[in-house]
Amino acid sequence: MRALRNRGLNRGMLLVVLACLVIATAASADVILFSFAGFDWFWPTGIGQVGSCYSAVGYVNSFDSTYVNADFSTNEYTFIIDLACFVSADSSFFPFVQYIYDGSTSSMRVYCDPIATGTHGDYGTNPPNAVSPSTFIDGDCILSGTWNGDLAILLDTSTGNGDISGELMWNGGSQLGNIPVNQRNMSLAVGGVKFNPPGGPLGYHWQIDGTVFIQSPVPVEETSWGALKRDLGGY
Amino acid sequence: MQHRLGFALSLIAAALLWGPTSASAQQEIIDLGPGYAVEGSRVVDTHISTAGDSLTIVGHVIAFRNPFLDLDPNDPAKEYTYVYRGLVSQGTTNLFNVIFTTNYSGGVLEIYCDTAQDADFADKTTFMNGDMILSATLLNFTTVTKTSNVSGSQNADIAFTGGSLVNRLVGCTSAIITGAFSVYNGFVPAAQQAQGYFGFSDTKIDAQCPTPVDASSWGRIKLLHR
Repeated sequence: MRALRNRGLNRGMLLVVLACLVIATAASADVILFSFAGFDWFWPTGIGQVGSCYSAVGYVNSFDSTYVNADFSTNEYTFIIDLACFVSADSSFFPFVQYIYDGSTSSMRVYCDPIATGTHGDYGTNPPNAVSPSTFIDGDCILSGTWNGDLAILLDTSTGNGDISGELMWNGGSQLGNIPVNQRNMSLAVGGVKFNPPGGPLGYHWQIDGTVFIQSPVPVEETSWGALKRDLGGY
Repeated sequence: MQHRLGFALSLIAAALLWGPTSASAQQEIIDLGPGYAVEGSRVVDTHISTAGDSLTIVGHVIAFRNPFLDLDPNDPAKEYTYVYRGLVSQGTTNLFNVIFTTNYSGGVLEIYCDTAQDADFADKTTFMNGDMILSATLLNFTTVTKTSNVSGSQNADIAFTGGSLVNRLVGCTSAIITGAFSVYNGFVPAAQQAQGYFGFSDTKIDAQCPTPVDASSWGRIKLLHR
């Protein structure tokens, strides 16, 4: 880009740039990549405390078959969000409190483990423990993504209801190749949470259930340089 | 004598221990997958709900767990669907036009097993046909959406009341709904928006259900401790 500025935009370069802008504008909708459900925790200190880190584990219960080849009859699919650490808390909207957790230290990964020969996901108690997250991160890592920015958690302290969200860049895993390159970034992960589930696994903080979206395929229309120039007003 | 008393006490202690372990922690029992919501004339990106309007959400079940492990949501010969309906909006409160909370009264959740895979968002009744395997009343049903980002939540307490498989939930307690809810237009496909849907929902049911236990006898317990 620096080279472009230094040399000035010639007509060809401008057309390429404008074409890219058109494509970027078209990519506004989202499609579901997968749906997940599980439990989460804060460690080694509690939510909102300096030094606390957020993690979640559970099951992936559906995929879009366009992007992930899954066989739920023979495999178990699990996920982890690991170790996003506390940045800040904002109670300006009390009784809602927004917590920010650092996405740069965290990732979201999905694993495939054969039911017959693998290890069933086991929450255990007081995570991290001998079985969690280890039984949720065994098998083949089919997708892994890093966060663009932070994880945001909004909690209604009057009810214990809340949500968590973040934006992912999918960049690893054995099935990454099924996701077109231009759909891997700006993937939105959203989940609802419920605080202190009565009778939930001891030591876990919230129920979590959510969805990961990726950008929808970009519709393209074949054209020629001549047509493109005409569409751009003969520039 | 002291030895016998100690042995008897250990049996009693073992029996007491047996009891609590028969009740598992609260776990997901059904994952109600992505679904879409319709409510009056509400459209996507509208955070305000009109008091009195009725909310309906339809979608597919994507996972069953204990005590429904024998049900396969991917069974090609069946279709498992769900519907939230009869939820009456109590209006929306908002904080600084950033956080919007809508409480609903009434409402039921129903889960169906159909032998025809005919669910079509164009006709919500196609999500309500076949064998109703579970029905539940909803309490404290709440959605929270935001203008600060696209995420939001949907929560409720539920009480199972009927359906052909409701007997499997005898003894289950603390049943709740948890999940994501959003009115972001990018999460509701254009086709569903055209059909009148305004919101996206992805929830699960958790409950604390008894773990199946093996019948035993004092004799067998004594054998175990010899």
